[in-house]
Amino acid sequence: MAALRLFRDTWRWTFRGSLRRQSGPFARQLYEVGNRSVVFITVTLGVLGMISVFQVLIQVERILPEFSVVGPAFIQTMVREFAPTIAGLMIATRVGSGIAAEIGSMVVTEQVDALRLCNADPIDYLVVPRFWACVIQTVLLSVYGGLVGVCAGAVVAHYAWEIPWGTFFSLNLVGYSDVTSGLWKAAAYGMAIPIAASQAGLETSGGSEGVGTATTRAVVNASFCVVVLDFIISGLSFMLLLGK
Amino acid sequence: MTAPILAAQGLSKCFGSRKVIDGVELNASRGEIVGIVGPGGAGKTVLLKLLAGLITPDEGTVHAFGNDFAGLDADQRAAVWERFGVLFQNYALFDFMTVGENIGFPLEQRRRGDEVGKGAAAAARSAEIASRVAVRLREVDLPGTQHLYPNELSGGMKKRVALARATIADADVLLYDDPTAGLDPVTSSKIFALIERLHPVRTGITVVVSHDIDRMLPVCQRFILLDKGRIRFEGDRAAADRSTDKMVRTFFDSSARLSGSDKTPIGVHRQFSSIELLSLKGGRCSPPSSLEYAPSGAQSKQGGGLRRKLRGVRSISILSDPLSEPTADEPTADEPTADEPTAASRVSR
Ligand SMILES: Nc1ncnc2c1ncn2[C@@H]1O[C@H](COP(=O)(O)OP(=O)(O)O)[C@@H](O)[C@H]1O
Ligand SMILES: [Mg+2]
Repeated sequence: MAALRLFRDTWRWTFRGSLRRQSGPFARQLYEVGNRSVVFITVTLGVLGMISVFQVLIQVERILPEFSVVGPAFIQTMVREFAPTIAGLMIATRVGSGIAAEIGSMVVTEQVDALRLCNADPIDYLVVPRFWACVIQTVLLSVYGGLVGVCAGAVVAHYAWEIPWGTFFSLNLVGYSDVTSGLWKAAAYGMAIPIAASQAGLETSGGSEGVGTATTRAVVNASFCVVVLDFIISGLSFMLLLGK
Repeated sequence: MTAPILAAQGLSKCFGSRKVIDGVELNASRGEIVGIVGPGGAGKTVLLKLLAGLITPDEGTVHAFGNDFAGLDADQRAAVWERFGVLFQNYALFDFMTVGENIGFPLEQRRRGDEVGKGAAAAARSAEIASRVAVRLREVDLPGTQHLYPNELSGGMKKRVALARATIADADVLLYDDPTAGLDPVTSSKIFALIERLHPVRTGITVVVSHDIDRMLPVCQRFILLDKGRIRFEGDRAAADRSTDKMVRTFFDSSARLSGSDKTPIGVHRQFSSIELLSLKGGRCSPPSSLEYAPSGAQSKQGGGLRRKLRGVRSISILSDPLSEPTADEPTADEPTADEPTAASRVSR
């Protein structure tokens, strides 16, 4: 598959010192990725944290009015699932579309041809900086998004149900495997999103409508990758837990 | 005859089910300037990219300096591409680099290839690149614009920056895709003068794709008319004048002076050449009801007469397709002067 080849070539160029050469574009991409998604992720994970704590507390109140477990359980799901996956989906839409549009318009305006003719590999120049910026930022933004979600949830729990801060903020249920699973997810999304988006961008053909099509395809493919990887990594970590 | 610098044999390329290039043969020998003309969508850009090895042909081969592109590994191809300079139709300026960095890029790339200089040597090389960039920018009439980004430039400026980048590294094969599209006549003339001056007479070739027949005629030694992916005509100007092919005559007589880009909008007001007016006189079109004609030079007398004849014209339509021009094959003793802006036009009711 073309995307796998792109993935392989991205690593190959990385080992040939592409990032050192492209340190300027890399820094700019780091900033771009973060800048594009930080507000998005704050809002989404903040709202999601508040709503899910609210809903859970309503259910818990009906069944067993015992709130001490809500905080730790919420934090566990946040770490393991919500933070990386929601952040990943946001980055897939926001950053994925941006990458595809940028690279797509470079294809349409023949910049990619010009790069090749100057013996500058488009993967080296365009994909590698975006790839690593995306990997790093997805991990960082997942951690950040998790913190935002947990804090937002805690605020709801504290002010609406008067759960003490200390009871809510408990890492009792968060195990090593939850953290690694969450981080692996974030890293995997961070790799899949720029590859899916760059591939869509590089395949752009036929004028500015082509860029639109590429952008749509990038978002669809990148989101799909996030969901599939979520499933795979969740399954793997579950099996590893069972194996122990 | 010397071995051709660029040679294409039996070149074909499909996009989907459409054959965009169909059996093209092309040889260009040292010192030649070849002009490629043809209607929009004829495949000129695709042909140019095939010649540059940027697109792989479905059938046929392209040899550059005797090397078949298909048989080259990455390093060999890099060596061949170092001898190419291409001005792309869509400028292709890197929007993440300044004008100066764009123009210096081919030189920087080359330096990366051979010397990993440090300290003083590298600084000297950078200074040399900067000075060459400055010289080229002056030549394209854009001095001191090094620090601007491409999105701060007008279309004409971008074209000129792209020309500077294509020629900075003294390439042996210079390919220009519509270098004067959308430029004013003064700048266009300057660009063609520059193309002629930068032509590597002793070492290489130049291929120009353009609609600007008037400016190509004195510069190009040989012309190729591409139509629907096939070569419809090949030869010098005299051969074009002798040709009885309607389309060739249309292109080389007057219609090519639709000038500008592929995207020339239909309906822009243009002046008419004497040929079309003669045909009106001959009564091959039904008399239209409004028509503007600004006669110039030698034709003014005749034009004046026609203007009288055509009073009561109501509307005109301007053709984008010179082939439909009904009068192009009409023999006429009256060649339009080279600098008169003219157009193929059909007069309708
Ligand atoms: N990458 C591509 N994919 C599909 N069709 C293409 C592609 N490039 C060019 N074409 C088609 O090939 C034809 C010739 O294009 P082009 O060479 O750009 O024409 P022109 O003579 O105006 O430069 C057009 O119809 C165009 O739509
Ligand atoms: Mg073209």
